[in-house]
Amino acid sequence: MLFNSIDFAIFLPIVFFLYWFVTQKNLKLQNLLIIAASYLFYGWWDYRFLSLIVFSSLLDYSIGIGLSKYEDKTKRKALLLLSLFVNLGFLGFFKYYNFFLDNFVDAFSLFGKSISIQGLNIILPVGISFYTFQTLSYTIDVYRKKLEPTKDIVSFLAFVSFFPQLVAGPIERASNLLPQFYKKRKFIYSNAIDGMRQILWGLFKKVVVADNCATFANQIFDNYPDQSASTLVFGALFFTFQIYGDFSGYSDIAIGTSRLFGFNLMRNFAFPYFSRDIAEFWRRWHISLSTWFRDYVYIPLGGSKGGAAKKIRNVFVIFLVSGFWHGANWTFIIWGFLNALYFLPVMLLKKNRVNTNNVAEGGLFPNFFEFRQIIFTFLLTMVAWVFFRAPTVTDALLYLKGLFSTSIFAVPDDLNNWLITLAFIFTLVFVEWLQRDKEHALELQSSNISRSLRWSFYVIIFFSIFWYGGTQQDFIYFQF
Amino acid sequence: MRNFVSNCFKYLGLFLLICLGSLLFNSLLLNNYGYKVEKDQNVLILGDSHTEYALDDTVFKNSVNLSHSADSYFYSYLKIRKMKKENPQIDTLLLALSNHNLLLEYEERWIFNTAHIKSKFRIYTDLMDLSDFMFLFKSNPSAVIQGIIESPKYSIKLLFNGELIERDLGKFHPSQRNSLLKDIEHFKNNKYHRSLEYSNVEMKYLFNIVNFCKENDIELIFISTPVHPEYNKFREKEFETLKKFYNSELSDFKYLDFSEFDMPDKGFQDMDHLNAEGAELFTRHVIKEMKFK
Repeated sequence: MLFNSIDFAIFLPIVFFLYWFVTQKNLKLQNLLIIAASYLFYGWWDYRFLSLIVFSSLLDYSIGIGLSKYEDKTKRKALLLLSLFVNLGFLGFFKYYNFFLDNFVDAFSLFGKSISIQGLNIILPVGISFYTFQTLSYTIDVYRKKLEPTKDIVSFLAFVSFFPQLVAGPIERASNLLPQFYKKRKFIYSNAIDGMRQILWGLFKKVVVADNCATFANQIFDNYPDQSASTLVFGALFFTFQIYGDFSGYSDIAIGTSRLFGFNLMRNFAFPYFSRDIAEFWRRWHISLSTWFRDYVYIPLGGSKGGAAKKIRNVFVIFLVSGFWHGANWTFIIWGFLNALYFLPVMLLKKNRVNTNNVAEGGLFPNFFEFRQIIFTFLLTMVAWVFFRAPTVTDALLYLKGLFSTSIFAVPDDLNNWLITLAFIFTLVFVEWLQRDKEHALELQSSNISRSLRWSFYVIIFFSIFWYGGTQQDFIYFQF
Repeated sequence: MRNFVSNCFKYLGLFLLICLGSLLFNSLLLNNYGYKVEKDQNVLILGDSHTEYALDDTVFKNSVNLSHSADSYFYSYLKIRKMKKENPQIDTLLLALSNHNLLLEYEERWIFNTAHIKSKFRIYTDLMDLSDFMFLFKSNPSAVIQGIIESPKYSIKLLFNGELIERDLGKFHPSQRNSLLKDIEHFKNNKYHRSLEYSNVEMKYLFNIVNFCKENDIELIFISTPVHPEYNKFREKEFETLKKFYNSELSDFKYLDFSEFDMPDKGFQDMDHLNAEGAELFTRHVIKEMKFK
């Protein structure tokens, strides 16, 4: 079920009603309702893959119980390895099987031997990368004794399958989300209203910005050899905002929806395109995944401690793994590699924690130096997104090569067709800039903007979602 | 909690009221517009982009061309019903019969597709009765709801523009486009052949038109407009199927098949649509052929 569908518009009020009016007095029943609703939400897409979620959940629940019983290190390690093996095994099979097979065949052909192995027609279960990482975080935390294993199977199943964030995150930590299923949720009016605002802004980003940008980005990327350099620049710009609007929009809807049910999910995006360096960008982009890799991969590898060689290795490992997490394609790996290259000088010069506050804090405009930093970081990111979007590495390189032409100064032929979408991008940037010190862009209740002005703004956003929404597209991150 | 729910209902109610009000407003406004034609215009031309680009009603003086790109027979049926009611002098219907209109593939593209319903719904709302509305609603409720939600936008446009330019029931479009060579090239590289299965829904509405014409003493003439010989070659099987269908189901009616009309290349905008020059030439020929003066 897509958040931006009529199905979800019917589903959500029904679940909301049952949750707060029918099952409210019984916590277990309320959690059971969440499980049923979440499985329905997921099964709407393909019910066959529900068995994977159920199996993964039951396995990690049992392993958690097992870990609580054993103190012996070898047994504990064996249980952890079992969880890693099964969960990553599923992920590896569904997501990476054909990729490894193709590369294996290609590698053989390099040595003059050609082998023919038929790939499998595998459907990638939606959200498998997200819920796999979520359950893994539980097992690892229990193994590390940072978290008490749960004996409440209903809460655990609800934690793994919680529908607002099941298919595209935020990837929640068990230590944050699981305890919320243990206690009775209270309906807080102000939270629910703010959740609605966040949903509204998320829908605007997805339906109006991302879906409209998608139309033009697709046209330009699909026909890049015939485009002028200036058109290619716009193509990259459209994709840069498509992926941001799409993914951060999903996160906003997920977080806002959770708040309607009395849950608090972690923040996933913190206005990343206003970052002044690449380290800051990665602290603000897909925060739940970045921190997951930081805590479970980067720090165990030694993090930024040790010699330069070790630091460099760790940076490359984390970015390459992150790239590979996104998809079984060399384009994603190159995208990760490029980001590692961007990050490296910042880290080696020990400047990776310079920009930890909000840009132009307390002021309206950034100073010239900050402005230059923002633009530079944005352009670096935009170049990397070309690899993320292009179907192959060769296409990405040719796309970038196409930028080096005198036609970069030509006015694109389709500029007039893009104006409305560019105006939406401007609106997004403008509003988010003004609200950059807030949790989300429509957190306006504490601002000194008059009520009538706020309401006018909500109404405009609301109607623009219906009137200017682009052709409905799946969320990009569903494929990950 | 109660406060929250009551506020949700309040705003949802207000929103629905605005949408339905706009729908009503649009319909009332549109009901008074655009259907009356001159008394001497007794020939109505309906169909898709083929007739939209091929029959010039400024040349064919006693006709009115309300063909519209991607119009299925469902929408043509709505139009003939309304036009006859408003213009009793209409005694002839020239209806496009092209190689693809009845194909099953076009049922999805031209009837049930969400974007298609959204774009057509706002134009044709006021031509629908309850059963037409329910037909669309049952086929794709989401698209119809989206169409209703878009109504206020349409109302605002109507009010601000001061004229009904958004009301595009269909008309002759003189085209200056020249994509013939590109199109031929594209067809040469295209190996895709559509399934020849016909859509029951499209056929149902085609026969609704047939019956309506019979009941209202309207002479129904089918017309296929000129297409490029390369197109004819590529779509040969589709034309054969169409001819078989005509012979078995529609042979009581006149059929002006100009699909192999000898049109010079300069008369085409692409392989199956005429440009303004081709349209003028073709229209004069049709007048002669039909002995319309």
